[in-house]
Amino acid sequence: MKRLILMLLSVFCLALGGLEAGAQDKYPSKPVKIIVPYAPGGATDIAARILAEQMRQILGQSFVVENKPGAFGIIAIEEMARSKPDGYTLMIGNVSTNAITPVIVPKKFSINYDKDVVPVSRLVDIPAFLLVTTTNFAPKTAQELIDHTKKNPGKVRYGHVGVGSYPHYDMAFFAKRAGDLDMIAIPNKAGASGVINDMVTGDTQASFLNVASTAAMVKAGKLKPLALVNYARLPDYPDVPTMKEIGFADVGTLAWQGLFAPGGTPKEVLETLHKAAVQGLQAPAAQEAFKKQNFNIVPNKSVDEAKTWLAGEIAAWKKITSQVKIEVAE
Amino acid sequence: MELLQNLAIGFGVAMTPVNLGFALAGALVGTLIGVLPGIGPIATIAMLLPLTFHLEPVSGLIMLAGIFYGAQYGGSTTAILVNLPGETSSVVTCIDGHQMARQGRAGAALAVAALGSFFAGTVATLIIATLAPPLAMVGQSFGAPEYFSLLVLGLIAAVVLAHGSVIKAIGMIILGLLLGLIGTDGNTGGSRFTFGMTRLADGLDFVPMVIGLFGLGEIMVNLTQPGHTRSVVAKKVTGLWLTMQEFRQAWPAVLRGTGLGSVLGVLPGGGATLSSFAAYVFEKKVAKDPSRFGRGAIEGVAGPESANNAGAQTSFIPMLTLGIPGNAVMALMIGALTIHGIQPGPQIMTERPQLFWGMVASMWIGNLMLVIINLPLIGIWVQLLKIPYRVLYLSILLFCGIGVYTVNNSTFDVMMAALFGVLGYIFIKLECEPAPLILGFVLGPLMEDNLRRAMRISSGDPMIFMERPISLGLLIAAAMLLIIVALPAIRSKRAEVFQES
Amino acid sequence: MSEGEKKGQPFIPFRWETLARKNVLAGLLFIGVAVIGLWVSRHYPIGTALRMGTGYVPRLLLWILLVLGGVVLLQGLREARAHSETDGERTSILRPIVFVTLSLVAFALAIERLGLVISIVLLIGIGSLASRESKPLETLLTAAVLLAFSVAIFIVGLGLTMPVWPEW
Repeated sequence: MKRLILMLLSVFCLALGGLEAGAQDKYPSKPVKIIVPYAPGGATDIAARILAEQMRQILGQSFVVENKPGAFGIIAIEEMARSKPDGYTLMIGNVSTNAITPVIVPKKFSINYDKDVVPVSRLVDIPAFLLVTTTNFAPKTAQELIDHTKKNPGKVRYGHVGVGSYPHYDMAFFAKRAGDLDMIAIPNKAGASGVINDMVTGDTQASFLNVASTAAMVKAGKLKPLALVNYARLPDYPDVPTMKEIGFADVGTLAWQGLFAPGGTPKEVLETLHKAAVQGLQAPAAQEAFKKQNFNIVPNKSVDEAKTWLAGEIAAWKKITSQVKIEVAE
Repeated sequence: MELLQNLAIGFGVAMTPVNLGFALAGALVGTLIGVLPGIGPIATIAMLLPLTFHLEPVSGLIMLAGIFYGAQYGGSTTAILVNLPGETSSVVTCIDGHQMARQGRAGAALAVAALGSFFAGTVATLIIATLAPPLAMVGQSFGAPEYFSLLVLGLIAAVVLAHGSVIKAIGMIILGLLLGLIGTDGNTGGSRFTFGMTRLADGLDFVPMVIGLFGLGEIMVNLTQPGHTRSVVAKKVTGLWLTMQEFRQAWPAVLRGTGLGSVLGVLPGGGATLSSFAAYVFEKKVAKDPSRFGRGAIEGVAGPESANNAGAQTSFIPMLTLGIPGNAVMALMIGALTIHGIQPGPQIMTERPQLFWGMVASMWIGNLMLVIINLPLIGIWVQLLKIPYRVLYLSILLFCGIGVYTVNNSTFDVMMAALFGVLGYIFIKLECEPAPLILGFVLGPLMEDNLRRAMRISSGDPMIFMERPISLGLLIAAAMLLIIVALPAIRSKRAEVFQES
Repeated sequence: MSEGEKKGQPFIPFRWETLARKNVLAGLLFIGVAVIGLWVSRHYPIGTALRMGTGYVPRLLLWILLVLGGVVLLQGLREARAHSETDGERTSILRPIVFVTLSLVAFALAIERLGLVISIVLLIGIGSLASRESKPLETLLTAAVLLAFSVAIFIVGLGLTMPVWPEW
């Protein structure tokens, strides 16, 4: 209860804090807004809230998370990019909103993404499984899945969370690399939980989904992980090989989340934010929260490295989207 | 008996002073946000989520659950008093609940909503305790074809919602379906009816739409009435409690609503949404005199309110037993659990009995608290109606504005609400009822999605809907309902023409 | 689309009042929406029943709506007598609609730049014009009470993220 009161108080102070914004002290001298391109409760939102709490403790100013969902993240990205580049409006986005969206629907932006958005740091990334259902489906390894699909062209269906989403590209790319497998994509708007449900009912047979959201069904034996998209095997799943081990090193997305600022933000402010974010990620409370969900904590070493990293990500997605043709209507 | 033993564990956990405190805090916060239009449990739970990191998982979950069903209770209050549905579930409560309030029977409507919800909550809690695993299996057997057939049944039932012209009601459903299609097509990624606006890429939002159509439209209509300064209530406010006759009319409706809601709540993804609509339709069909519906029939409040609470409760079943969230609130709860390293799933009952049974017990306690909180509040709510309308409407207007804005922090949504307000006014004036439109809007995208998914699964063979037994059963039910609906409509068509003129 | 009109006209001589009938207007509304929708969606790919395109379901629904609109229109035209629905209170019809709408638009435009306090004053001020029976002093008092209440509940109590004062 005390914490509730404390929180309410801090919010109140924040409201008052807006009054004395004129003071030109060292950054940050007033509360900072972090825009999240998703509705409350998703992985990105939770990660943002965990980090915001840590950064508040480090920099002594409130970091307020504001959800601006919609349009593949474009609404949030544009709002941030258009705000004053003074470090008081930031965003935490993920691989979908901040790498895939600018690559596949560049025309929908009314800003220049490459110039108007700068990365502060990559934060965490999330391991994923290549899974199959155990409902009326025999394959138990990736090779068996490939063989089964080759014998039954057009009979194996995979689930994904939306046209042009990374689980969609991942499976399409996997199918291509495994020898142009003929699989049918079945989208489910309800997100990961919908895809899981489709697999449990046997309507779809395979999918790429992150480890955290599938753990329960894997444990219950309803879903079978064939491979892991991650740097190395996970201690919780010692028997699941990595994609690299099964010969698909470049297939599968380690979905990352990153902290971004408007282009033109002063270098010192970016440095301050970068340091605070890295320090915040290392804080025991954050470490514990992320570890429990099997997130990898992967900050960039510097602001410059963050820039190189984002450029690399964009280039990689340009390559994938040019190799795997998924029709995304404009 | 094992059940008693389990419940003993549960009440042992839930009755600790700390957890009772969290249940109460949740219920209070939930009632508050439920009464305020627009601001739903999702935003509130998300804000409180970081707080639960520091709590015991059970305590955190108990508080979040309290907010969830507290909001359900609170939502019906504004629906009845000022025709403002806060959530999908209270849309139908508006139809007869607000009419009752206008007739000075707000007290009875609020009382039956609270008591019906409590009864439904009690039954649903028992169902979770005894039947969770088998019910979860039912949910699991629902694939795309089954869902599509269920939605067909739901849409046909929607025609019954209307109390005027059947053809206009169908037109409104189609209009709702079309509004639901606005946005990005999930199957091809193409955009539809977005008029090039990025804001529309994810479609229209539910909250600005209902607040506009119901709340704002109603304000505009009221303001055109000459005597509007005095109050919304046409007649003198009578009694705060149910009369014997009302009680006799209401209790069978509560029973039926509870049954329907409990079953539909288990279905993942939208089942609970259907429950209050379904209950309303059912009540209207079994009533001796269906013409009372839409004019303040107490069954039209008792049935849907019970169904909605029962559904809200049983929607915990897929979440707790399968780890599959049935709605956004459940997804948030899973988020709260995973942060503690707990994976809800089939093993949760055996691995963490304290958590599971504590949660079940706290549901009942939370419902009890809500009834205790809400019954005395009825007196206060009814007093609110005595505020002169020229003051009251300004307050409603403001809460609508703030409420709509806070859902997505979007000013565009506020503009949309204003636009739908004008539409709502036009619909009321043209006797086109908005409730079927809302149902079409909610079900449309689900229906299209499941139809297209089913067709891809069957490689384009429509027989898939007949080959699956559950789907076939639902379609037969839909066909029968269609006949029941169509027969009197055809027979009374001539009469209706005269009646309307 | 003009089917309804063609069939309806021979029976009853055309008079402007017929247009004001509820069913005539409702029918025209459905037809109007359907026509606009069909025009907007004219380039949407239809696809086949197996692989439905973006336009398959919407265009199907729009055609149904068009037909229903025609039926409602026909019903309206055949009605024996027009409703005189607005019985002399015509004068105040536009006023509530315009000002209720405007008050929300003003609120929407102000909330992110000028903050909650000014937005509330704008909304109440413009909103009060919607009723001819508003009293200035009472409105002022209402505004003050709602201001205090809103800040207490939404900002302090629920901790919603919106500016309270203008951002400069």
